[in-house]
Amino acid sequence: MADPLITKLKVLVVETLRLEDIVAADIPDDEPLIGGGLSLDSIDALELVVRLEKEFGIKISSSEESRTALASIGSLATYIRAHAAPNRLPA
Amino acid sequence: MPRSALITGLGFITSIGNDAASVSANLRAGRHGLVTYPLYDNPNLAVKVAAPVRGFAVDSPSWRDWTWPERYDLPRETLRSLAPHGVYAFCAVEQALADAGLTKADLGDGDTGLFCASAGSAFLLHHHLSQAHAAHFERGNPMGVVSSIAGTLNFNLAAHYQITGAVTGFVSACASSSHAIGYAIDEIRLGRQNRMIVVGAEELNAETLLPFGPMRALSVNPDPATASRPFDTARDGFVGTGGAVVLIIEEASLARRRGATAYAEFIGWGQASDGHNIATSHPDGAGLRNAMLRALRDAAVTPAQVDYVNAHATSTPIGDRAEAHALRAVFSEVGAHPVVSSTKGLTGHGLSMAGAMEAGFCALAIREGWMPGNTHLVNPDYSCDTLNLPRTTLSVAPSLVLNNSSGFGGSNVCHVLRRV
Amino acid sequence: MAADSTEPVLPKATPLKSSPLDKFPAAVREAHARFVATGDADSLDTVVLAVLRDHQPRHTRRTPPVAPPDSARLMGDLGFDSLALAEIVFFIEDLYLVSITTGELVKVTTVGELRAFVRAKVAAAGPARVPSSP
Repeated sequence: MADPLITKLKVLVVETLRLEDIVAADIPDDEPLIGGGLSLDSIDALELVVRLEKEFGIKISSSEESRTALASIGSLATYIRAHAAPNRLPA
Repeated sequence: MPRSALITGLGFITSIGNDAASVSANLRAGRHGLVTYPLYDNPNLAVKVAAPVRGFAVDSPSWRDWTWPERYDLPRETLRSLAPHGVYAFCAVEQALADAGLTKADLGDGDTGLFCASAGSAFLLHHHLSQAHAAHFERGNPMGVVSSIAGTLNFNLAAHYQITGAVTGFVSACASSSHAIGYAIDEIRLGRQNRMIVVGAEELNAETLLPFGPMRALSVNPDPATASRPFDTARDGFVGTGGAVVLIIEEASLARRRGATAYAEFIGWGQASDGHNIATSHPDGAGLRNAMLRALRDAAVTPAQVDYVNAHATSTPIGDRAEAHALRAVFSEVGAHPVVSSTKGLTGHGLSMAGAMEAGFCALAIREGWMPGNTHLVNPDYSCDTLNLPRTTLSVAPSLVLNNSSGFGGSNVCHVLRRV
Repeated sequence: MAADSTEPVLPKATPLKSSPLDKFPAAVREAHARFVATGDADSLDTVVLAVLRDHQPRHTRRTPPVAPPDSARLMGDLGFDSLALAEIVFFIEDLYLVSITTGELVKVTTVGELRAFVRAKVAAAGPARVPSSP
């Protein structure tokens, strides 16, 4: 049974960054978001974080946190669970 | 040991083709690139014909609207500061580098230079200045200056290709790119540079071309098949064209070490001025005559040894005749009758680009073994009586070739090319 | 004989005044329209980020340092040079009909500062202003 937050995050990444050639469900949970196969650059990372901040009401406050959170979809889900208000998470 | 300058690469973005093979085929077959072309939205415009480049759309003031052939990878940070003719130039440089077997990484050695020639972009200059005036000069496009003024080519291309050798531009109207070639030859011969990239480019649009109208320099012949007819008695002015042509010129031992093949060698060049009038040639073509004589002397060859002369002749009544007189003085009067032709009958007049374009044509002709004829010549002007003006291509390989260019103020340049 | 059968591109008749966002993705143009209609800050953010992306130099597309948006430095972290910043400012001036001085510009060094700055500028300029489209 897929984690709804992980599913949602994959869709969000594909949508926000307009990754036309990539199917959300195909992104591995442990795929690095930065410096990995998705080839995200600095503006991509920026857009993603802005979108995540709006979507989940989180506020990434340092480069360290950002690097940890964006290590992969899996670590992003962990970060969001730890920092978002519960009512912002998918059921 | 004298250093010699070889042409090792060519790039063409022209009205008769965007690659050497097409250009060569069209020159040999006598196929022109002129069409009915509305340069401005005004049915009263007397000028009906022009020779545009195909495959590019650069007529918007915004680079975001521009398109060019897909095979050329033009990154945004280079594109943002280009003039429309800079796009032509970039693509021609890429083509020439590939032709010469060079990549961008080869160019930053400090021994490679870049000489460019264009009149800048009158079109963009007008656009940026209109915007600036509208804002009372309180704001403007940060790329306004570098994209518009003469020099835009050298600024942009040197930055993009990270060239650390000699870089500058040449401004002598229709002799500009011929000057660029001449001084590039000298950079190599003097041992200052081992490789020179020479770029000639110009836009074809209302702002660049139509101001020649009030000078009565433009043809008003509405028939594309006859409007550009250098040396013909019915000629009435030139037809405009745009585009870019690039020559890669390398010192011979460098070219050999790289295993590069040469189209031809530049063995000399010369220049001289008319000292006569700001816009019209000396009636006897004195400056061009002297330029040719100096070039021949520099190359240590005699008029009798010359097989072919690519004339500047733009299809203007005065200019063509002046050149014919100069050619008679240099050649006919010593019993020499090289083949003479002006390829502007097929391409139109590329202004700043003309010299480089026609040097490129000479290089093709030498390598491939033919001499272009005067395609649209029917009734030669009386001044051409002693000249050898074939109408069609001769499948005879020229060994020694001259390339002439003349510009405003009576500036004249002549190159001497030899088969290697 | 004519050399080429492909039609040459004829110059367009007097060009109409177009929006600076004409060549941007539909989602961005929609965000801009939303901002114009509602003054919604999120929509403005979408446009500002799209403008940054449009001006991004190619060479920065390597493994990026990931700074959070508010402190991501335009010149250090995102790879813009001063000319690109001048271009971005010119673009934003055109889009929102505001005027940005050099003195104001040098104070904008991060994405956070840029977002806040544009919001403040546009708010100060009065009800949402855009160049009138034909």
